[in-house]
Amino acid sequence: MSTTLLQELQGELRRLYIAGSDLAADDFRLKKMEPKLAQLGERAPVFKRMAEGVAALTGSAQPEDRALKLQDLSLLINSVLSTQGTTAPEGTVQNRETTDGGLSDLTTVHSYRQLAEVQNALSDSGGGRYEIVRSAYDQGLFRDLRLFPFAIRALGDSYSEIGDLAAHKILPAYGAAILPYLLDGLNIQGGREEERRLEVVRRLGVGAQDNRSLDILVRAAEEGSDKVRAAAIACLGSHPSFEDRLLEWSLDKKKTVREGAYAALAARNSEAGRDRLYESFVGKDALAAAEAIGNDPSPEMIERLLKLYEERLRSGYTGEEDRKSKDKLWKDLEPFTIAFRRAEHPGLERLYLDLAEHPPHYPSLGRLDDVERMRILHAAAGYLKDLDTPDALSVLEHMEQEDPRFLPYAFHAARRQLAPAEVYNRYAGSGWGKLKAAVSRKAQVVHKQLLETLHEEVYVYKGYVRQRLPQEQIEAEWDPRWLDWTIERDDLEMVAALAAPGSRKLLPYLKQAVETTSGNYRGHYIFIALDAGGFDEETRYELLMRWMEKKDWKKLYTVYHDETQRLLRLPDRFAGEAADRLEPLIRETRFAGIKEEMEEIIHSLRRRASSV
Amino acid sequence: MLELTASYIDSLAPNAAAVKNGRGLVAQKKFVKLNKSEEGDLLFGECSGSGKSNYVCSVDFVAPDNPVSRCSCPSRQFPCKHALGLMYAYADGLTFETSSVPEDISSKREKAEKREENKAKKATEEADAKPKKVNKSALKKKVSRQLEALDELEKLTLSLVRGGLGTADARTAKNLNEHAKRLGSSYLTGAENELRRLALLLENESDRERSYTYAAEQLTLLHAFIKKGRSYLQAKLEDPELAPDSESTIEEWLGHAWQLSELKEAGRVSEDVELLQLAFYSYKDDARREYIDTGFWLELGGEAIHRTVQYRPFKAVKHMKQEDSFFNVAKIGELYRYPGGLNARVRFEGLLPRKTESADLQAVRSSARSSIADAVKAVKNQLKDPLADRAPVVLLKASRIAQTEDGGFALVDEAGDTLALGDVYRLPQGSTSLLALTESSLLEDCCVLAMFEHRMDTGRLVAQPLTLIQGERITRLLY
Repeated sequence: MSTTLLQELQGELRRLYIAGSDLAADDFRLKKMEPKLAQLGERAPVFKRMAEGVAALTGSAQPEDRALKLQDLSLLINSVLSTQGTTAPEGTVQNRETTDGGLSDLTTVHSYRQLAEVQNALSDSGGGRYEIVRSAYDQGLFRDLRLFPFAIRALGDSYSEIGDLAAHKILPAYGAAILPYLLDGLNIQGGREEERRLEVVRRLGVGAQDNRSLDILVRAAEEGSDKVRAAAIACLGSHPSFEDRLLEWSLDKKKTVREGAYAALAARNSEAGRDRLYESFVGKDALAAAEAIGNDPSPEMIERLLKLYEERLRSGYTGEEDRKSKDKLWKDLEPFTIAFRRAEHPGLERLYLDLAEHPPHYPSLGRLDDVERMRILHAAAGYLKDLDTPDALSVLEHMEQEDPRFLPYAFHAARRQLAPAEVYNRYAGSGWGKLKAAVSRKAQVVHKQLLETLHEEVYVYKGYVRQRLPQEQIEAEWDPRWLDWTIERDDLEMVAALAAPGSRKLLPYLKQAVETTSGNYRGHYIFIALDAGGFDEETRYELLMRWMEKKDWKKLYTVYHDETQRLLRLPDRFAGEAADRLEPLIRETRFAGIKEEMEEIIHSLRRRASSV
Repeated sequence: MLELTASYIDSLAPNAAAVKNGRGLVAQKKFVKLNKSEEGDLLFGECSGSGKSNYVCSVDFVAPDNPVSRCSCPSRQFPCKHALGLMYAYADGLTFETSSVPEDISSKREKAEKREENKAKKATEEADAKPKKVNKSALKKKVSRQLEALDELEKLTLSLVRGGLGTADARTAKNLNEHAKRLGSSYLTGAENELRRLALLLENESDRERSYTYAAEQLTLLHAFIKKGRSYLQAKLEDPELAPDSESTIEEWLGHAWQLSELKEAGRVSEDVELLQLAFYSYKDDARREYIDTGFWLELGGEAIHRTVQYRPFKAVKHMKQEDSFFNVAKIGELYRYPGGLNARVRFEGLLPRKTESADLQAVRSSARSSIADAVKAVKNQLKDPLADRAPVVLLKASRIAQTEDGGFALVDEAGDTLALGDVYRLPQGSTSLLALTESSLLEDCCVLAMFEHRMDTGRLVAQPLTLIQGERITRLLY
């Protein structure tokens, strides 16, 4: 059967559908086909019917009829064509085994509902999507084969946090096997999306043998948009054959291109590369070069810069001091704080130790404004606090003596290096008693700083919120005397943080706190302390009831969720009595909402009581 | 004793959020009480909620294929997150204290039993009673109204054909939509949907050329429907006693919603069937104004690939269960089969899950078609009928799936015949390109569930791989 002729006829009919069947009269292209169809019709009757259909369509008929004829003919042809569809592949089938994509450990075990939620989140726009994608990543959902294309697509998400998540977490987790897929989709004229894509490529690293990927990168580096060029150049750092090109690009007219080249040279860490970076560092591009070094600090580079840093810090200045000279000095020093931000080097340790101990040996430091000097000193203290050496600790203590602002660093180092009791002795055991704190102004600052530091050390960041350290950690790593110390200072929040079984002062303190504390939200801390203090159920029950009873129910307009939860979780044996005690309280309340809520609690307590 | 797996509980949940929330309740230890009955067929407990009193919830497995959840929370979803949480807690192995069945539940159980009895009694009574009398004059009125509407529809399509799709604009689409509404009120809901689909194609501004192709096809389809529908309805008008045609899909096209009892009457029920789901997807059908959850199931021991369809109207979406992929074998007491082609729709009420075993995969392999030519013939035979399902699904056996020169994929059968693979327009999601990512051993000597579609513009019959079955592994490329 002549499929081409039919396909052609179908195309003509489609044209008529668009143009309108009224124009079919004497349509010469259709008319030209009619004899061919008629000829074929001698052998196969279906063609004869088609020839007749064409004749009726193009012949003289009412316009209304013509439309009907077109429909009839089209129906016939569509039916016939549906049985003639070609199924053979257009390209020849290759005989060699298909190669493994390298992602064969991806699974397909997840269900539609699990996947669709993420897929929709990554194809839509609007709020709430980040949380879905984030939790999918945390649950390992992206190990599912079917989410992989969406993970790549996420690079260009309109919400940049999702794009960044894909670039920093989701895609690198797949490993280097995804490089070809990433680079195949590269649009070298693109913007932020392509920049992210290349960032992933840089993170994963292109192998020296992978010429195909390297070719794509070089093309992007030469012909891409500015952003793409910079990002592609940054990927080429680990390949010796591109060093000359990198050096050339590091002199480019465009700043973004130079930045890309610096990043690659810093990663490359070759002799020539370091020379160029150093050159730029002392020249006009200091900040850009510092940024690149800061991201990829190599020991050789650090060593080289250290000399210069020390020299600049030690140099004296005899000229007249004014805004201009100070700015010039900071311009000379600032790049180092950037370049060294992640560096670890014995020379740097030596410099920081000396700098912190003998500031007068470094006159430049003295010339800086306080904000800027502090930036350098904070960098030093930050470096020393995690070193875990006695030298570092003693230098930090020295710094702390000089300026209480360094107390957090010294305290942190002491906590790491000393036994809990020693830390306590040092900071709270002697000398810095309550009395002294009240007397000297400096001691007051120290005291305040200490409380703040304690707070930072006990409530640590977990995700975006600060959380109390786990109970085991509190009991193992903190001297129990801290608890009494915070009780003495009536710092309820810290008492809640440090509460542990064994303190004689805790319960009386909490009892008193229940009576005197106003402000609902502070109740939360009382009960945390009560939970952590290891008290029996009676005590906890009694205090909770007391807390409820002493509220001014007339003025109360809300009952905290935490409190209702605690009431509902009371052991069954207290349920009856608790209900009896709560009942009279709510008579006073003026807000229907509270009344309703409390009545339901009482109701459920009663039910529990009756079930015992 | 009750056996609950997490995946089975997932499948009971009305939607993904309920799964998450239910698990969350267990993780946050919100359950104050966990109890089970002595017989082990009832789980009940209390769960603390947001500030108000505890929710009392239970899941009753008295009828194991149709668990009943009850909860004092105000949620309109069943099972609610509390009932799901209760089951997850059980599946996680948390301790459930044995306790006697609470009074309110035992009374509810009694009531339910009584209801069942009444229902059974009614059913036998009805079976004994005389067949329902057809209200002839009402039926006549309905059929003539349908015929009138068909005539109007024809007039409308012909005027559109005369003027040409090129002149169609927003007003035409609006006009079509209005007309569609009228069709709906004239008992032609099937036609209503198809006319609205045409309007959607004409509204599509982004890919004009492709829209024209599909719109022309849609016009032809409407024409076929009008012709077939008219002759069917006229036959019905002459003989009002005529039973609905249970062999072809024309009743559904006209908008008839089959009742299970009607299907039973027509003898379209199989008993004690085991189904294995091979693919699932859900999409938004703007023409029907519904979400459609579609599952493709192999009847174990047979060759048929059935289709389950769940319609969730946009308006009711919040209150309906969203179906999901199902990984176990479903044991079904009564399987109702709709009329249809290669993948006729089926329905069932309640199922018992059973773990998928290697014998089931063996059954999958033996029911796959080993010749591409045969499979394609069957597909084309269906496509020939303009009113048949345009996207049939077939299970094929492949000696391998090979890459083609231009980077595409093709299925090669034992005889060395080839079938090009590509993505189908009707599916919401492509899957062919995922073949490049799968482990290469999966592509040798495997079975492929593929959806076919004829492309009018290119004259190609495209096949999209939905699922690969190789050895003991089922790799779902779609869902």
